[in-house]
Amino acid sequence: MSVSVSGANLAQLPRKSGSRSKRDISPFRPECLIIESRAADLPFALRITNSLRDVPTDIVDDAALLKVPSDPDEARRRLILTVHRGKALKKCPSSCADNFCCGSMSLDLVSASPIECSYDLPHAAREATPAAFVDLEAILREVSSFLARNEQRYFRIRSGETGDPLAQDHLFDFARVLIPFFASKRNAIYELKTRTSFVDHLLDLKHRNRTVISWALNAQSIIESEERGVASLDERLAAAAKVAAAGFGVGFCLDPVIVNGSPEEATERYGEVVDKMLTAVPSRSIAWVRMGLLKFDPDLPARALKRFPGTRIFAGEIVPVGKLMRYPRFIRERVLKVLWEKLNKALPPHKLHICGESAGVWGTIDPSICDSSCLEKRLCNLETLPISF
Amino acid sequence: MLLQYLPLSNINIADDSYRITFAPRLEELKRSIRAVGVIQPINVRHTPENTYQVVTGYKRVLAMQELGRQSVPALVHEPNDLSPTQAFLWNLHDNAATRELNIVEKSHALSKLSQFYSVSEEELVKQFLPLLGEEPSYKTLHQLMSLSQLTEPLKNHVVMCDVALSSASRIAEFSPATQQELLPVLTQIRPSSAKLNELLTLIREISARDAVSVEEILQRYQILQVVADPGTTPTDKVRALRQALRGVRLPQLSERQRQLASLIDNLDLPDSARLVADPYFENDKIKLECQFSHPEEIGDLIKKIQEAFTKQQWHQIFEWYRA
Repeated sequence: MSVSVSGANLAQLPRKSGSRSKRDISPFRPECLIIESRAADLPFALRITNSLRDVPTDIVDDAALLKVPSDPDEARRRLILTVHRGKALKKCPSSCADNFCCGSMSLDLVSASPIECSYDLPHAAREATPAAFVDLEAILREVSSFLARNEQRYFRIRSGETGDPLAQDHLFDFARVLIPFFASKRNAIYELKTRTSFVDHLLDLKHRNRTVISWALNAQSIIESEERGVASLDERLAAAAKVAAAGFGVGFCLDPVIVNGSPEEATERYGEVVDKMLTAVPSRSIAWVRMGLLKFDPDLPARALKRFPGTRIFAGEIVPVGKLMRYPRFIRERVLKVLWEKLNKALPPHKLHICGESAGVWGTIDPSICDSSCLEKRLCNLETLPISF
Repeated sequence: MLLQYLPLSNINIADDSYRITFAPRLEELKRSIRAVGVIQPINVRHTPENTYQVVTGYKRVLAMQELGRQSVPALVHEPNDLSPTQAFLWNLHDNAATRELNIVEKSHALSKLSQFYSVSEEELVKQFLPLLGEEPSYKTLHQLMSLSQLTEPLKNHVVMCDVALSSASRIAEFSPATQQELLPVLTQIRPSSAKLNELLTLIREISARDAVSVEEILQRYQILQVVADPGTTPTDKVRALRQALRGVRLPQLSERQRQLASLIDNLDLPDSARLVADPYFENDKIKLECQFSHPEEIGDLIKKIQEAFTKQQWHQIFEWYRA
């Protein structure tokens, strides 16, 4: 398997022991492998173990009971091979009574990753420890059964909620199974969401337009100051262009949009990202664009300042809204409306999604959403069905 | 152990090895000693260097000194009879069992246990926080330990003004120089802990956003002048300070709130009715609140509200709100 390491010269830079530098996008390699006994004999565990033969390995009954290093950098140097507890297929975490949800589900085979972002930090070192769910057969059986039970509905199944699915795929090779798996499904589209440029191993896989590879995008200045172990904006867009050329649908996620000054400054900054995005990837290859503004738990700033002392993401006008901290609605609406209108010049409304907002907010930006039939279609993903890329 | 009347001059009062007391209030104790003398002997540890360390009874020693007494009844322990760890635990239990320690004293106790007696964080949380009357949580432990970063004047302020632990630990996050700058502001106001936390957070956030020192913020926005007006009540000082800082930290939101307040002011609503909007404009519903003490007042109130409703400004508010 070939792994694209853009900016290979950067990977050659001497790495400070323990922490990955902001621009370190070299493939992740753990310094310690922990395998749960119930996962040890599974084919994927054996294959990963074999590829990490020289890494010290422990087999434990329950990784959740292990003492975790308090230092997240140390925790991040481990890799746990485990199995899913409970259901692997979950409702989109943004779905709640207050939000007008995009109606997607989430399926993650990795938890945590070598990537670290100031706006999405784990609460504890335990959550920072990369883990892979290697009971892939059971997980795929669960997904197949769910899709068969709901064959009248159409599902978008997202990844990237708990960890970047491609950041460690050179070790796990999950995508090589998942993409053909979803290619055989009639009522689902799988989304592989990443901040890396590791896509070369995906290009010749049979996907039948049932996998969308998507990129979380941000302004390059935000990527530089707030994200570690990721590809640059240009590298992500180059990778997106590559998968689009290979016939994959491409998704983009402009989230979190950061508004540190006026909404106008933010729309100008993110407007440039949109321009670059539309230049890099033909609009016919774009399956959807999601956007959302920064929102976070009230305890995030204290945690973020420890890991990212120079972070500037909390400098904007942020107020408590429900249980979260976010920009006031009038700021969110002003920014989203400008970006939505800009995107709508190149993409139809049904390809544009707004994350974590009420139908009221969404309706001020895209009035068509207030139409009940449109709402129904969106919730059932019916508009996504005739994929036109 | 030997009971003896120990000359005060033999006691090394500067040796604070086992001391946790901070800002002691001695008046009541002095009154008691004046009336009946020292009832309970103090405990001292005789060191190999032939000095006497106070183990328990620091306040009694201070009171006796201030009263000009020459000696104090003391149980003298030889070094072999009482280890430093035992001596510290005696002091801690003696204080914790007989009075409410202030947060600086609790901080001193925990810091010493950690620094000099190598007590683990887990033991501090599980064993010593309950002894000090605190919830056994790591957050509380870290907040209390952080108070060691307070300057002496700030420690005094925290104790004298009974500043809450959450606020004191936020003050401790500032550098000693910044704490000195903040002190004149803090001494002018008596906010609730929630308000004080908000004010401190606003100051810190403005400082981080604009990359300027807290000292510069205090000067640039004339914060000291805002709170120094002797004709203003402490509550109004806090309100003015909060308004000034929020205006700097949240300029767009503050401007919008000011505009709405102005539109509402232009309405001719009766005094007993008021319009309340979501302070962050998240919800576009506006609430009308009315107060009345007799059922007969309702009709009159509704009539006045209806009269006000016919005015154009009502529509302006909704148009402005949804714009």
